[in-house]
Amino acid sequence: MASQTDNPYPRIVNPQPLIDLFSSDDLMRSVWNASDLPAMWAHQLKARLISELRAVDPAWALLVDGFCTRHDPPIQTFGELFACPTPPRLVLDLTKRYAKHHLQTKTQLPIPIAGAVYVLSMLVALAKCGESVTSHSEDQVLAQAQELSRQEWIDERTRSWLEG
Amino acid sequence: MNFTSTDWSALAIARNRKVASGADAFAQLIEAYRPAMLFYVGSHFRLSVADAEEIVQQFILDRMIEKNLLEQADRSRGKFRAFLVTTLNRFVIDWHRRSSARPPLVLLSEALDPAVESLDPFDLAWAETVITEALSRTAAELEQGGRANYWELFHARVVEPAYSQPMQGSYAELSERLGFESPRAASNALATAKRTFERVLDQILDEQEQGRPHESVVEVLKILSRRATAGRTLRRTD
Repeated sequence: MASQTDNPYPRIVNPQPLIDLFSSDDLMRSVWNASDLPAMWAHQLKARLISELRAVDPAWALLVDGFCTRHDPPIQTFGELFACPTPPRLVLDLTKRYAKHHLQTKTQLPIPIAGAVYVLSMLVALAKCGESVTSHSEDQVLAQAQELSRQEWIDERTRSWLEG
Repeated sequence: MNFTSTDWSALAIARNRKVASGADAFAQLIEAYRPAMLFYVGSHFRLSVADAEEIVQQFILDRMIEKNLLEQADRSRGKFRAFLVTTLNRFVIDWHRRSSARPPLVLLSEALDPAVESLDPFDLAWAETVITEALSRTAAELEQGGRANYWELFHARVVEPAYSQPMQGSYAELSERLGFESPRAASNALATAKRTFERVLDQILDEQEQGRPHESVVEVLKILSRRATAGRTLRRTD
């Protein structure tokens, strides 16, 4: 009688991905991982501002729509907003609120991505509009920008915004 | 009828094999439980595939058909699968005693680390079957609801790795191919697929127990987790 070493029937041999999924509500812990962050951040920068803001509050999308379409050149994505030399302050303010909403209400937007949007919105408002969209002091915003800049998953273009 | 939805009313139909509906129900019951019995006998008694096949075939013939085992199954005494595994255990031990030429039986629990003694291979086979059924129903529900991309993402990131297949596709490739407009949208799709799977699995467990208290989703997954631990222990001691 030989020992059975192989089960001939297909089976789940590594239940860990399923267990992880039900052990935490944070998908960044259970499904996504650090190696996904660079692609996720690139995706976030390409995402349409209007669609993302509408998912949080349709009124925000209405407000932003006018500013973004009238802007020269038009601003459609998060990346275009942060790269714009003259971004509308209101749009940065609502973008910061969008990020804060995701950070505070534990939605599915991964926390590092929401955090990066949050910091960039505050920093760009200070640097390019000369106005604050936060109660944080300028030093606090700069410190958060430096911290974000040190993250390995941050791309060079974003790093230039953070350090510029 | 299948392993995941076998209930006592279906078993009652299968008891009467003299009528066509009973014969069909009985055949479906055999079909549903046979893989679990094979897995159980093979792993619990550490038998070869050929020996496990022989024993299970003999068990089906002697006990389930000739002695009409289903007549003895009593709902008030607990789960059918517990009844089946007890009967199967006795049968394997008797089968072994009938031939002195056979080497001693080695129970899996005796070969394992004490930390995993509680492993019950029949429970493992059952847990795997209900999870597989839940995954299948989740796929169907999402696809029928126009959310095939939700299922594809869940499959690539959660299901395939569970079956030890390499993770399919990077985040960039998946989000582009499946048409997610942002990380928020992709993550929401995963969360929806997770909730669907959880609800469907709970529904399957409820069907089996017909409204009585049953295992939670996490408890079912923990049963599989014990097998993963046992597998590692066996590899260490082999």
